[in-house]
Amino acid sequence: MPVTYEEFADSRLNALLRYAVMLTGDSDTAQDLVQETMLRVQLHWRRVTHSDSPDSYVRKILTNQFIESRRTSWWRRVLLRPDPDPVVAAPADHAAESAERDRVWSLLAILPRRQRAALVLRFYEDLPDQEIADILGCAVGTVRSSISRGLDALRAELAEVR
Amino acid sequence: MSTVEEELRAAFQRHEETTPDAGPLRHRIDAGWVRVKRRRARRRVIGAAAAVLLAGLAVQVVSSTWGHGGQPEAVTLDAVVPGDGANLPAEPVDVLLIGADPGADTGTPRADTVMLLHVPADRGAVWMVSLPRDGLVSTSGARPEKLSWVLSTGGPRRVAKAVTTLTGVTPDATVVVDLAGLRGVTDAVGGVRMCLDEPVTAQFGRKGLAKGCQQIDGAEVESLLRARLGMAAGSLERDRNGQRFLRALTAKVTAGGVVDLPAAQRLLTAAAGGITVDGDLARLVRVVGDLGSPQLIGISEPVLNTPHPEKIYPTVGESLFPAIRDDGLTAWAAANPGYVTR
Repeated sequence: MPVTYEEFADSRLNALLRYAVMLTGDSDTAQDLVQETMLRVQLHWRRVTHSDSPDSYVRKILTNQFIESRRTSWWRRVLLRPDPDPVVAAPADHAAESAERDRVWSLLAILPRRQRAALVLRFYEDLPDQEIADILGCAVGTVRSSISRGLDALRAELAEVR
Repeated sequence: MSTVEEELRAAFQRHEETTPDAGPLRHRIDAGWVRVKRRRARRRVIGAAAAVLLAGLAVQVVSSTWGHGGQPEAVTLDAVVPGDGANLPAEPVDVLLIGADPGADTGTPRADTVMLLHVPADRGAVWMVSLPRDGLVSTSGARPEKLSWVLSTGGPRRVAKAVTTLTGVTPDATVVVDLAGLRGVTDAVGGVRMCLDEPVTAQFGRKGLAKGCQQIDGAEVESLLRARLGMAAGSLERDRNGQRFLRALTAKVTAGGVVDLPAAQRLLTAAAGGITVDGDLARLVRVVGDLGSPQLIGISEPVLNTPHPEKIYPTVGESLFPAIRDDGLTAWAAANPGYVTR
């Protein structure tokens, strides 16, 4: 079942980009993240194809890169600003309502990277704890506590706003 | 009011719909890949090499490029050889060998191979301890740096310092060799004969090399010492090829017994400035004189530390580094045969 890099990119790039958007909250940053990841993937293609699941291996690379990217200052600026900008309106007619609904999306930016990643893997990718733990490289218990802390933080922020 | 969980799911759903198509991104990635390949092709110089004997023989080529801050200064062999302290009991000697990409096109030299050469007090062998160049080392900077990059940020002195911090070994000399120097030396000795565990694939305009034993001439040195992709252990196998090359070169140079002065000078001329030495030259020359035709034993990490390529000898470092410091590599190698190549 070893696929070529080309086939992999053809079939998986859109999904990876969506995942990266959920992680970074910003489609430009997401594209940079995916590009960086896919370059690494090509460098280590052999290792990718030899892994049990190329797809989750690549997702792991991308996630790690996202979590570790805090060192790069431009991301800090983009993602960790104290007052998240209202996100570009989703395609909805009721702008005000959508801004309100999107508050939770903006608030994701205040969470530590690892917590955000755990929330995305749970509530967007719908992965079970074990798979999330594999991707994040931590114990299942840590995944659970990341998720619940992340949710607590969001709840607290939302309560304050409302 | 809906729960946070539901709001999250809904938010992700909405933003999934606004995610742009990945088509243009695909083109960006492909273009980026072309750039990466070009950059790596330039970088792949290694130099694993020639050193013990070059440390001794080549000393005179250029000394003190970095060492004394001035212009490289040619030193003649007889100026170095006379031995104050020649009658002192032999001590272990450590030489740091850096195989450098001079970075002619980028202006930043990088270390492709870093090897600690240990000559024990009994002069029974020369140990070549490869330090994976992707490993992180502590330097004076705030954050650990990749070993391969320390050369460009701080020169050989700082590489030596980083190695000392890591291993506790203070090298008596640091030798930097580049590919052009090795090519010249290899041709000057009429090529070397060596055996490869894995074939080298033709790539980046370099010809491939078959698995097994063969003659390596100057023109093939680059293929041999730069190849990393396509081999199971990647840069670790490249480090081992560097060790094999050094072993073969040493065997060739010392095959005729004592290396005489004219022979040494010929080699040095052939190296054409591709070798620089920083350290106690007289001591190196004495050591080479002691060695005769030494056995070179390699130590390297057998397989890539896949999850943590940044760690240098994560499992055996604790015993390996003290063994170098305390001149106890023979016992260490007996206890850790998997790390040893002869």
